Amino acid sequence: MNWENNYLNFKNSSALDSVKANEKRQKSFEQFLTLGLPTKRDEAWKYTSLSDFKEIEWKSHDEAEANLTHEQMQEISKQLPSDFINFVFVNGILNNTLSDDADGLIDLIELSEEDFEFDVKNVEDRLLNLSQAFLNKKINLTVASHKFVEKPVQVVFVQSSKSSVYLSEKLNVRLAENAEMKLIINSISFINSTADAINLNVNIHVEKAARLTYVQLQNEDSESFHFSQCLLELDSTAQVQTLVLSLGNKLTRNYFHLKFLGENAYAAVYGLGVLDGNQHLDNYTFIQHAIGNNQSVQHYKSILSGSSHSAFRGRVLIERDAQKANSEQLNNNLLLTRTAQADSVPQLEIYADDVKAGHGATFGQLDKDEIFYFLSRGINQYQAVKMLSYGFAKELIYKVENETMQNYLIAALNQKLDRMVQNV
Amino acid sequence: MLEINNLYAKVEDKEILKGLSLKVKAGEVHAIMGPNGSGKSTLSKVLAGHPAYEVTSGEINYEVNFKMQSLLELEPDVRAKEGVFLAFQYPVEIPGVSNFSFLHTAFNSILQHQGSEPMSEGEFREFLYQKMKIVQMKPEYLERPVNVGFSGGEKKKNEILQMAVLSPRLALLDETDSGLDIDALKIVAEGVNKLRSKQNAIILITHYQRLLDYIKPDFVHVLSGGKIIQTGDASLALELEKKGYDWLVN
Repeated sequence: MNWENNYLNFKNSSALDSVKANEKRQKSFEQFLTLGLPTKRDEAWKYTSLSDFKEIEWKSHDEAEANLTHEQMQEISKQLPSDFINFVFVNGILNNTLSDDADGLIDLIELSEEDFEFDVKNVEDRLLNLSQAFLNKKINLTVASHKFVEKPVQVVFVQSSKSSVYLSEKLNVRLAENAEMKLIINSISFINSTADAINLNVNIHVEKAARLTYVQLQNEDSESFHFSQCLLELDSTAQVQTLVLSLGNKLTRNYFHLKFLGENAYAAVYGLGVLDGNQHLDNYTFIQHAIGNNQSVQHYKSILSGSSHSAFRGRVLIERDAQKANSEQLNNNLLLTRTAQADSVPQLEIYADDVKAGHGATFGQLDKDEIFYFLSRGINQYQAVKMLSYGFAKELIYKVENETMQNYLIAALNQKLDRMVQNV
Repeated sequence: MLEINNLYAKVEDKEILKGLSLKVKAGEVHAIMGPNGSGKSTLSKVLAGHPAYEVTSGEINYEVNFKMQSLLELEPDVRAKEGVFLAFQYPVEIPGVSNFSFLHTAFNSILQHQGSEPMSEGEFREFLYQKMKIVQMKPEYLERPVNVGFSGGEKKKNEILQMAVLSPRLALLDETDSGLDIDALKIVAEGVNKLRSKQNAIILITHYQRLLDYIKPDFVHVLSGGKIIQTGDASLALELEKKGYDWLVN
């Protein structure tokens, strides 16, 4: 793969106004060339190989290809419920036809030097290097103080190119004091297109007493690669609820870092993966209790069929002064086939003495007698597996405290389960 | 409706049924009694098609579309769609699946098999409320996961509710009476008696004469050592109650 040519093309077509920003982008790219992509030798990437990703002749996204066909417009429209506020980005460009009125919520801004990070302690530093090398702007989503955004906001990233396109996206979200919002990040690629990749970098700051529901819906086609790095920071008494629903994609890696900056904040972090065929999902969470008197709950589940593989690593750090931290973690895996694989690694690092921290993991199969009970009532095997899988999964969807979003996510889940059970 | 000829069946390499024969006609109620380990539950599992039970020889013919067909050729869910119903001795718990959606899906699967239109949730709920009265079950049980947290008696009533909803042609009740107090037993018996008709047949597998006080069988069979060793009318059950099985077995 020739990243150099890609970078040169991208740099020339997407030059930044700031000289210093250009230099930092150059530095990101050089670091990427020096360090390369993570490999399984890196502890944080033990369960996920990028060798398939490396073999593909990626091209950086081309803004000239942001025009959609009529059919593609229709296909995307189906995923834009009218009771959401939708913003659609096609190959990095905001599509005005498909998007709702920005209403002061969203802004596209060219990158400045402050937007580039070189934090070597971040386990995703190498993906960040790649991400920054191919970025020229960021999306800012801001909710003003005391503002309540009633409808869920959906940001959709569409990859529409015919060639194998690699796309970086950067999204900054800020909820000012007492603000409230429900946000879905959804990425779409078109079935039967060639491989595509998105490298998504999200920074969220939830200020004092603000409330955020944050959902990542990952439902691209079977040749897609999806990388996300999300940093979510909470000020005091902030409340967040997050769900990552991973249904599509050949390979998905999510790095989710949540950090408490103030006291009496609450974070509920959920993840649900439904995989079949050779799909691979790697969720790496890092809950950082940097300060005391906070509560975090994590619950991740996966349903695995075919030869799919999921890995969950839940790192919880309770720092020395973070007294009265309360952290729970649970990971449940339902394996529908013998060839499916699940790995679960709890990683608790506790340096304070007055804390509560728990973790647990389960790995199970469907019970033959349960299946027979369905059969004996005239419900066929497919339907039985689907109903049992749905029964296993649904509690996490219902954690999202908004009925419109629940229905939207359940529809996506049911479509996936229908596809999956045909191949069990 | 059902003809079992010289049936041999095993579970985990242990032969349980050894030459069992039985004929059941529409409209009849048969009681099958016998000591523990005689093969009563195996018979019901084989008829319903449980994968752990293997038929090694013999045949089971069942009337489908007015023709006798090999039941063993039909998948378990197809047997159910063709009117075979097993009320389990130990109904399993199904977390995550509500009683309502379980019953609704089962009911519509059978309708679909018969070429009928599915019933909507609203219509089905009305239909279900009527059936729930038979077993004196409260509506809130519909929203709970199937059998989860149900007492032994509630699980058995739930089996009878399913039977009342699916209205099978051939109902097999595997020790449905065991573990029930007398009030629950009466409710279960009433549910079974409501199903009784000239078109349907019922096979009651039981240890005790007690159930037969409430459901009067046309035939009583004694199963021992994997085959039927004695057949009589309802009076045979009374005789067994007094004398036990030893006089027949030896």
